[in-house]
This record gives sequence, C-alpha cells and structure tokens, in this order.
Amino acid sequence: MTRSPNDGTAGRLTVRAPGAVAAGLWLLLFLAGLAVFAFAARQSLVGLAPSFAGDYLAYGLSPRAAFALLGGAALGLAGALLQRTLRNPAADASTLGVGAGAQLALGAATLFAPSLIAEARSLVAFGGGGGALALVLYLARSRNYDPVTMILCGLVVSLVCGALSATLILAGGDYMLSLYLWGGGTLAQTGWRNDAVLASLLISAGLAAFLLRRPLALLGLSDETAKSLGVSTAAIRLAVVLVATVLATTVTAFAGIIGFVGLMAANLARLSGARTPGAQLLAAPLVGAVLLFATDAAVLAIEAVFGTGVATGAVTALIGGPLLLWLLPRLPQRATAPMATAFRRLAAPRAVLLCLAALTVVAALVSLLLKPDATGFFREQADIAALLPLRWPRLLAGASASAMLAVAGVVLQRFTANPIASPEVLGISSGAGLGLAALLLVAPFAGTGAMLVATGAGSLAALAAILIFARAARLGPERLLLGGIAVASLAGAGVTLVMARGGPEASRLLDWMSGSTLRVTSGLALAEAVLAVLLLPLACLAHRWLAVLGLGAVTSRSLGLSPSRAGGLLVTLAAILTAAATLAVGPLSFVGLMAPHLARSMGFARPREQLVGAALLGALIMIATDTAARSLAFPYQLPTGLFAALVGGPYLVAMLLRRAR
Amino acid sequence: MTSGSMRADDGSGVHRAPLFRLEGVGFTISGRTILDDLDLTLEPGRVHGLIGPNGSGKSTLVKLLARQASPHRGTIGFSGRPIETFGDREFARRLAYLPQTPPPTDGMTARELVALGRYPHHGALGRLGAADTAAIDEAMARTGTREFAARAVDTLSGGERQRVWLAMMIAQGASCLVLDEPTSALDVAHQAEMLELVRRLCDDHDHSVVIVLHDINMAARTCDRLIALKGGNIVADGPPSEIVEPEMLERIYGVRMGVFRQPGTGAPIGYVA
Repeated sequence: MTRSPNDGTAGRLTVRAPGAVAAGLWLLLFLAGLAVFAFAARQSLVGLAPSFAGDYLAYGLSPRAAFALLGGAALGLAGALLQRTLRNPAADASTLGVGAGAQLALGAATLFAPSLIAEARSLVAFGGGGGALALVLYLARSRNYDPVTMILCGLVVSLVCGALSATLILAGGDYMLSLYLWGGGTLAQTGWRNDAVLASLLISAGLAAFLLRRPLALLGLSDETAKSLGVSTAAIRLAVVLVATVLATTVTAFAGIIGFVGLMAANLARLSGARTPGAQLLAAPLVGAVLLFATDAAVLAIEAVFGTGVATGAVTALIGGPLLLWLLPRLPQRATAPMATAFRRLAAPRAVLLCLAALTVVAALVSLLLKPDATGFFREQADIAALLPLRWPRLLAGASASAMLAVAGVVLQRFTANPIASPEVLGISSGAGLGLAALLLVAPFAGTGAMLVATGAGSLAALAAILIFARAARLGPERLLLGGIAVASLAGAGVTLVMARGGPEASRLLDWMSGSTLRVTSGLALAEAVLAVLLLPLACLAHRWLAVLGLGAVTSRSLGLSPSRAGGLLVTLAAILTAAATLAVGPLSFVGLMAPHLARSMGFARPREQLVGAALLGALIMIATDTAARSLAFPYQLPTGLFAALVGGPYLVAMLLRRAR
Repeated sequence: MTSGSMRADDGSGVHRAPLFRLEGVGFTISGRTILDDLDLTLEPGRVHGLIGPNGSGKSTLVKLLARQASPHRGTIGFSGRPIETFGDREFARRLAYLPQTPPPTDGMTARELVALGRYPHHGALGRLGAADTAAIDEAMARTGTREFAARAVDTLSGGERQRVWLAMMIAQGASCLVLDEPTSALDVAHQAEMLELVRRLCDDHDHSVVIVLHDINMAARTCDRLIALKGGNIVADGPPSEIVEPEMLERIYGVRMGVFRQPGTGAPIGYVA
C-alpha cells in the first residue's frame, strides 16, 4: 500500500531505514533489558531468605517484568490508535489528559468511595480518563481538531486535574501522599492478577484494532474523504478512542501515570519503517513493550544498586519529553475556520473599569477588617492594629501577583490569538517548581530566601529554554507556545520524580504547589507590589502591538510591525510577570487563564480595556478567594492558590465549553 | 520611456523612479526553484496584473514585493532604493499588502480594523490624531464600508469583509497596493465591484497596484499591463490586448484557447477551446 499523499508529517518523520535493521536493533535493546533485569533481580535477591527469595521472584519480580511488557504494549497500541484516528502525531494518553484524569478519579474515589476502588479500580480510572479525553476533544473541536490546540487543551486539562488531585492529597494527609507516589508510575506487582487482566484486555484490543485497520487507514486522510468513501467516521472514531482509553486507563489504574510511552512507541515505530496503519498497529505495541521493559529494568537496577526508589513513569516522561520537544515544531497546522465570535461590547468601558477598581478597593477593605470566622467586622482600633500586620502582606502579595498573572494571560492570549494560551501552560511556573525541587533535593530544610532564589532561577531557566528552543526551531511567535508546552511537560516529570521520593521535600514542594500565601512576608509583598506597579504599565503601553499581532504574522509585517521582535519582547514580559507572580501564589492558580476570559466576556473588547479589566478582575478574584480560603474552614486555612484553581478550573471549563458551542 | 534607465519619464516632465526593479531574483524552497532569475521593472501609477497557472510563482513573487519574504538571489529595488533598506514602518507607509486569505479578526469591529491601518503612522505609543481619523473616515467612505463600521468583521459577508480589508490598506496611506488574489472567494458581482474599486484607486488617486488574478478576462479588464509567469519564469509581458491572444494564452496555460471580441467594447475575451 502506498502512503496517502495527505500524510505529510508521517512522510517527513519516516526515515528510510530498512525494517529488518530496525527490528534487529529493537531485539538488541530487548536483550539488553533482559540482561539488566537479570542483573537487578540477582542483586535484589541477595541476602533474602531462600524461601522468600523464591516467592519474591515468582510473585514480585516476574509479574513486574511481565507487567512492563504488557503495559508498554498496551500504551504503545493506545498511542498508535489515538495518533492515527486523531491525525495527530503528538497524541498520547499523557499529552491528552487521560492519565491525569484517571489519576484524579482514582484519588477522589480513594477519599470518598473506598469500596469503589477495591471493586472497580479500572472502571473508576476509565471514567476519569475518558471524561478528561472527552473534554479535551470537545475543546479542540472549535478549532477543527488542530493538533497543537489539542495538545494545549490536553495540558490545560491535565493541569486542572493535577491541581484537584493535589487538593485531595492535601485534604487526605499522609495517607493520600502515597497516592502521589503511586501517581509517578511504579510498576511493582504483588502477584499475577493485574497481568492477567491486562493480557486479556490487550488481546481483545488487538483484535479490535485488527478489524478496524482498513477504516483507520482512511481516517488518516481527511474526514470528508473518508466519509465519501463510505466510512462512518464518527462511529469508527468513537470506537477507536474508546479502545485506546480503556487500554491507557487500565495501565494507569494498576501503575499510575507512565508518561509518553505511547507517544514514543508510535513515533519510533514509524521511524523504524512501519508505514501502513496495519504495520504501525503491530509495531507500536512491540516497541512500547521493549521500551517500558528496558526502562523498568534500568530503574530496578538503580534501585538494587543505590537503594533509592525511582518512579518508572517519571523516567519515561523524562525520556519522552525531549521527543515531544522535537515533534512539536513538526506538527501539521490545520487551517482553523475564523470563529464567529459574538462577544458583548461595553458601551462605556471606562466607567465599568472605574466601578471595578472601586469594587477591588472595597473588597480589600472588607478582607482586611472581616473577623476570622466571617461573622462580622472588627471595629476596635486595637484589634485592627493587631491583625493588620498579619493580613496586609498576603492580601497585597496575592492581589499584585494575580494582577500580573492576569496581564500575562491577556498578552499571551492576544498575541497567539489562542484563548487557551496562558502563563500556566507557558512552562514558566513549572520551571519555578523544578528549581524548587532541585533546591529541596539538596537542602530539604532550605529557608524562604533560598526558595525565592530557586524559583526565580527555575523560571528564568525555563524562559531561556523556551526562547532558545523557539529560535532554534525557527518558530513563529504564535508557535512559541509549543516550547512552553514541552518545557512544562519536562519540568512536571522532574517535579514528580522528586515528589515520588517522599520525605520532607515532598510535602514542602506540595505546599508550594498549593499556592499557600500563609508565609508571605511583608518584604515579599512589597516587592510584588513594586514589580506590579513597574511592569503593568509596560504591558498597557504595548496594547497596539497586541491588536496588530492578533491578526497574525503576515498582516503585522505588512503594517510595519516585526512579529518576531515585538512577539519576543511581549513573551519575555509575560514570562517575567509570571515568574514574579509564581513566587507569591504558586503555579496553579489559573488566574492567568481565568481573568482574561472574564474580562473578555464582560465586554472589554479592545486590548487596553482588556488588560486593565483583567488586572483588576485578577486582583479581585484573589482577594475574594484569599478571604474565603481563610474564613471558610476557620480555624483551618485552605491554600489560596489551590482554592482559586478549585473555583477557576470548573469555571474555565464551563466557559470554554460555552464558547466552543 | 526606456525600461533600462533607472528613472523613467511619466510624460508630465517629472522624473519618477520605477516602482519595482527586480534583477536576477531567485527563490528556492527545499531544492525546488520557485522563481528563476527574474528581471522585471514595474512603473508607478499603473495596475499590474500577475497571471499564470497554479504553482507558477505568482504568490511567491508578490510576497517578495511585499517584503513578506526575502529573495535567495538577486536584488529588489523599490522607489529607487534597495527594498531591504526601508524601516519596517517606513515601508508599511508606502506599500500595503493583502494576503490571499486574510486572518480571523477575533471580534474586532470593521472600524477598529481599518484604524489599525494607521499603525505605521502613529506607532505603538502615538496618539490617534485628527489626520488619522480623517484618513480612516475617507478610506471607509471610498470603499463604502461606513454602514457596517460598528459590526464585527467576522460576521460580515465575504465581499463586505474584503472591502473592509481594502479600506484598511487605503487607511495605511500607502501609494502602492499589493493584492494576492483578492477576488478568489467572491461571486462575479463582488469580483467586479472589488476590481472596480482597485481601478478607481489607480485612476483617481494615482495609486500603483500589483494584483494577482486567476481569471484572465477579469485581469484583462482591470489591468494596464499583464505579466504572465510559468514555472518561475516570465513567459509573457505586455498590455492585455497583446496577452489575450490564442497562441499567447496557450503558451501560458498549456491548453488550447480561443479569443473573441466583446460586442460593443471590442475587448478581447479568452475561452478554453
């Protein structure tokens, strides 16, 4: 069968390596993995009582090896199916939010319905993963399932699910922290039960894939073509996506998130010379099995030699991250139909802005003077004097940081003309997290000052990586975001690796991620305020750039505005704003995604109005959530950033759904 | 007037530099030659039509003229200066470009879009002055887009939207307009209307126009000079009456074509034989 002419990316990704050589190399890797596994097994059996060693080999190590092979095959098949049916070479359970959704569902079930976990673990995972994937596809629909948009939506959904999972972990205490350890993807087994389930599932899925291989070949073209050739595209696609989701979520249910195996397996299978859909569906599971088995053998060997636990899933993500980095600039861009956006427009935006500003001041006063249990206001001078020093720093820091995040969000959304772009997906805050993780790894009890330096350095490193990547890949500014996505995925894997070690550094990292403003000092608050006052006017000065750049590179250039220069400056500004804000409210507040949307839907249509409106709304949101987080569970305090995400995540999804319709 | 000299006489005794002067311009995409050693001089104050079959290099040529891309070989002069010596906004004040598919405008109103045409004049920080407002009003009046000034561009019909984009180019105040198939998505009536507008800009306001057109008869009706490209080379160049000839058309498009005279005007009409 000849390759379809439309399959441009597949064509570009195909190296004319003779299949036999590639197959030989994969066999070699498998044998190497087998050798390493044998070595690790011998190492870990040394010193065990003979009877226990036998049991450990039969019910611990052997099922684990089998699970690595089966799980890798399942993820490889799922990846190949998803990539084929969505026509997106970067599709994978981890890039489309399936893993994070499954993890969230499992966490919620563990906390609220433990019996469900015991009886129907895979079903719970399937529900969560399937829900997340459905959401991603629904969001991507409005942009014609453009591959880049799809990955962006996947990242946003993953981040929201991750924030919710972190909340559950915080709410559940130590007991739930083990859930996070599991979330990093450990393949440890205690018997053959999971293997049996996975094997039977893999066989039926393989059969289904075999039956669907011809319609799948047609789906690789365009929907119109497939339909005109008599393929019922919707039904086939639904069936394929269901099969892939079942495979991926079952692995997640048993072993946690094993990042990027499907992505790697399907792409490497193609690189190894599997051109036709049939060959890809056969090769991807084999490649996936070898990949995961070899990785897990290496992880076992590290554990046996150094005695420290490493999560296999995070390791695969670290290997797969760079592949995503390489793949993203090569993704096909699908023409997106101009969206007929019917946003409201305010007749008198200035008056509304003034009202918003007044409202923000009032909210700040209320927040400062409200009694801790929210039953009334302080009137006594002495009470106020005693509480004010405790309250104003976190209020000021939170409001300033949120205003900066909101403005960064407007800048990014405007100039990429993409409503899902935001500081959260730019990878800057993930970089800050990675910096902190690195610090805590070396010094688990580092002070606040050191933490600030570490997060700042991490953000700047992430920013530099994004800019260098974008330049090296010669991305237009609108695709600069891709660098951010890749950095976010990589940094996320790094953070998970540190988290999965457990210990004091894990809980401190979790604390920072939850965006607690509890420990904000007056110095930090003043610094945040000064930064906001200095940087926000800069963004407002660029409002014309934002209007012009929103029309795309060609029109910008023909109006005399260099998109690479102006875009580079704007992204740098957004990155600095994000880095500064992340110090105070953590990486997961979603204010940067939420406030621009709110401002837009309120009717602030022009860039300048939207910038000011979003900044005020961001501050207002943070003041309100901070007050609520402080008062709702008094005397306990909920972490502010996470609380904002809890409110913001669902709101955002609802908003995007409304817009997509 | 001699096309070889750097300055040409436009008949009024005032010397004007040629609008464009291309020497040995070549453009290659991954080994494939798109434009092959092109020499071409375009005069100011006229409507130049670029025609030719698909993949002949027309779009690439206008992208080079509009400075959306740089030639891999050769030089391009614009108004007597090398094209790359112009500043970004300086160039935009002299040349306006309409791409084949204008981008989505994200809820912007027609007037706001036209106002963006003033960016090359006021820049990022300057105020929108009285001169800018006057230019915007005049551009909208000239294109008949005033009636939907407050409507979102995305909600306009194809013909209306194209007129708004043209208004933005006029507001830009550039005397040279470069348009890449501005009529490809329009019905016959709107095509005629759009080209009429372009023609009037040249006749009444002394604008220079370079326009890519698919329809040979529309091109012949609108343009002063037709330049036909094929495989990255110029295969024909001259007034419409010389180009719309059976042998010439066959050479350009590679199919047998006939020509008859339009009753009344006597304009040549080409058709596939």
